[in-house]
Amino acid sequence: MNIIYYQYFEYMSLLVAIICYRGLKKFSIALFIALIFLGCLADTLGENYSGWGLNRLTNHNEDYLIYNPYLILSTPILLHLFGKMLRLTKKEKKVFLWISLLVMALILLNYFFGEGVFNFNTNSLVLIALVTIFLSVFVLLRLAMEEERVITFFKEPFFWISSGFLLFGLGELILGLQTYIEMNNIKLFGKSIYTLVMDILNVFLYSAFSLAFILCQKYIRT
Amino acid sequence: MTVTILATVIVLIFLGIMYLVTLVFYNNKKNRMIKEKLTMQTQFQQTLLQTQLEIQEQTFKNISQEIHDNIGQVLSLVKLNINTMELDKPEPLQEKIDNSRTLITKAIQDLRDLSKSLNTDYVIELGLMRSIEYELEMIQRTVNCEIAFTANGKAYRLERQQELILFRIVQEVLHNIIKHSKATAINVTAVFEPETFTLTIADNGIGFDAGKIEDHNYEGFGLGIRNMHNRAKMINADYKLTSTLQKGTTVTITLPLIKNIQP
Repeated sequence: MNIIYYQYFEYMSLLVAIICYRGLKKFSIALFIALIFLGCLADTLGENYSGWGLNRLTNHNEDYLIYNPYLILSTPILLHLFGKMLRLTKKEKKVFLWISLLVMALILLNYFFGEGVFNFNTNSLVLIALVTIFLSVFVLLRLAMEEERVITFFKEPFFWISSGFLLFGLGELILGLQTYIEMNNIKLFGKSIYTLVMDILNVFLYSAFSLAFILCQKYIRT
Repeated sequence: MTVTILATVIVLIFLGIMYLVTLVFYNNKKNRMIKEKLTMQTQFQQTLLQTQLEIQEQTFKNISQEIHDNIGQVLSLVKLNINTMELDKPEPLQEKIDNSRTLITKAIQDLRDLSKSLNTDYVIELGLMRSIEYELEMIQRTVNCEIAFTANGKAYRLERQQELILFRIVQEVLHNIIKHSKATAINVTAVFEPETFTLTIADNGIGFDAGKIEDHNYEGFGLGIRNMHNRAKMINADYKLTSTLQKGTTVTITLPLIKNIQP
């Protein structure tokens, strides 16, 4: 079984999320457990795609058959979580719902009629990265603009979650160039730039999640 | 190409980090402002409470004086009347009974007035104008001084805190006049204008060198004057004190009206 180092951080954040379930529930972000679980499952299957003989089972050597459905399944959960973190008003909720439906429609169109099932859905990924960046910026702005109480950013779970998403999303944008990177075999320190950057960002993302979940749990104790 | 891609990634992530750092700085600044606002609010509440207590204290002093100098004297006179009544002389008897009746009616009226002022919220209930009027009536009874109170313009009510603080300033000014000025006349004028409310308290007493007060920005002088100045600042009012030796002192408080005028 192949495990890349960042996956340990991913598993750890899943474990922390389960332990801190009550805290997550208090902040209405318990669905993070499902999101991270999907991520763990996709990464584990993806890393062991040929090792476990999944390539023979699907008759395809690329692990896109795992990552494309992962994108489709994880996006609604991601959008739902952002909806909760944004603490939307009734009017904003309507706008947010329409944007979410549009994003989902574009991802599904790309999957079925665009890049297709057997190619990696780069366009969808870039779209998700852009939406993630946009929404993270909004969550952080909302936090900063809150006038009623004194907020210590470093003690705010949503700050860590959104910071993780923001930096991860910015890095993920280069995935739009993934096809080009692969075609030209661009490497750094003997590794694909994509792998190198994304591994580091994954570590940051899941560490930020773990910290945020602990803060959620701490919040209900105080 | 490797360098370009790497540079793009680094720049993008750097921008993201810069955004986060800016937000953290902004948030820290905002937190400081919220804390300052809370401190100021607490300070304001404390001053308001202190003002109420001082008004109460001054009122009690007035009441004590009123009971001793006025009601007590009137009742003593009634007692004297009763003691000197001679039942066999109907004419002086009737006169003494009438006199006593008048004196008791006056004592009852004075007691009624006093009981009104025992309510510590009377400034809020009666309003600033009536409270000043009442204060001046009380002073008139105890001090041999010509007192005039005039109000110009269409009267309106100010905010609760503003009325309380203004009344306390008036009380303090009047107290200072009685205590130090040796004035024979006090003139209080209230001017109601659409954008400002001005209150002027002038006396014809001995006065003092007011230039020193302004030079030292109200610092180093009597706690009373500094307090009045600070309190006026608290409700955004302008407190101006002018005085000429042997001619008298004038205090002018100008309150700009921005909102919350109660008709």
